[in-house]
Amino acid sequence: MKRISLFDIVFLSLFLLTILYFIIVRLYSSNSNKSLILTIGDKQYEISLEEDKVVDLREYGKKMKISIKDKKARIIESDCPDKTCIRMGVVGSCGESAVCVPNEVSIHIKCSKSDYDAISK
Amino acid sequence: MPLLRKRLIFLIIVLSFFGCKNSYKQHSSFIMGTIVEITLSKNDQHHLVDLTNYMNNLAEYLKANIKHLNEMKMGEKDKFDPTFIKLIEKGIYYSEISGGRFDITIYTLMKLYGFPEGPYDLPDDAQISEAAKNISYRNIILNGELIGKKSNFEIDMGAYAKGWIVDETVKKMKEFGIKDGIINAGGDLYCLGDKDGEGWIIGIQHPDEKGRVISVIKLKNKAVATSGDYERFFIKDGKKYIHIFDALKKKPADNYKSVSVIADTVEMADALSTVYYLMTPEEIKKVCKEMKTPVMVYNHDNKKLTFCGWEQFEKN
Repeated sequence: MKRISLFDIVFLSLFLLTILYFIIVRLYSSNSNKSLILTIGDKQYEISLEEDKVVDLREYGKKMKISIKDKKARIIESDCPDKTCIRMGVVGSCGESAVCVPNEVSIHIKCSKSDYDAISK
Repeated sequence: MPLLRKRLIFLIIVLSFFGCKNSYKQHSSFIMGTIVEITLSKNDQHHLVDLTNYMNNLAEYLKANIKHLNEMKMGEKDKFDPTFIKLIEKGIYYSEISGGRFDITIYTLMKLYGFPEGPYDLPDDAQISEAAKNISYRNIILNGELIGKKSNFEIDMGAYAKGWIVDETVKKMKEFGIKDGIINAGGDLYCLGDKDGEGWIIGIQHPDEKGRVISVIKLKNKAVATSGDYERFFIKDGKKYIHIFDALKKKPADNYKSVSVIADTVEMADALSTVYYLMTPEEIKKVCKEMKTPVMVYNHDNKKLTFCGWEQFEKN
């Protein structure tokens, strides 16, 4: 019978570790962790959806408020003329967004794994 | 040691298999009055600032030229940049395709309703008939480097200029050596490359339900754009007024819930989604064959009509 060499052990360990690493990475990403991406002009901020709260955008220089409830978000106040962003309603699914063009503010649901690379609308 | 070599090769193959898959990152920012999402591989992220600045410069260039033309009075003419003149020519070309229903001079009337950004209201009849007198792409006089005005019209290139900016930026991406990526300007987008052979998966937004899509397509080096009645509109006395106007009727149209078009450039997809929105399904069927552009129409009865090979792009 052939003896197991040190190289075999190193080789097998490396191989198993590699497989394990990718299984963990895949499992983690398939959890589809959701978060809210707030875009103001060309800046982006990531906000957790875990805790219900109202985010006042005054600190970013915008007269707007965003409500986060049950892992969903919506724009509830805005000083823009047409209020389209408020009418856009709740965003909760991966890739969903509400946009206020005059204030250059958008909220967008980011998931670690999304069904689409982009949405045409 | 042939065995050792074999094992090492095997290990390298296994590792490179797992490691070769590119991961992509999306970045959003406001450019030209819309939210623009740029998707690039992690290796290409360093080009993001240059691409954003490039788009901003193009948007500023357009804004300045449109403002200059809109401020000119009837009978005046002035020298313009050849690139801007080409864009005006394109507007006239799309007007002709639509039989005059699409018209960049419709902005003369649209702005009276408050479009594009509000506050919205209905203009009175006198204002409408005064504006109507000035509307027609035939009042734009092109003569070499000069653009002249035969009436007091104002233009808006919103239906295809955004697409042109994306197309120019895609050219820049290619210059930078970027092989795969997406530029999505408010839903009008270009898919560069094939996402490492997989193809880009694009959802077409359901007009009534935010979290749903009405079609899923797979694109490689193609553009898609959608025009609809569900994002920019206002309701007055129970009636809906949308941002797409029929220049022949001189009033807002509401022919469909949405129209999506696949084309080789975003400018064409963008313009034709508006042009087709103003046409009957029979007319769309005829024109999309000539233009070689797959189309999907979602009508007010929530029925999907597909023409010119849209289904071939749909992902099963």
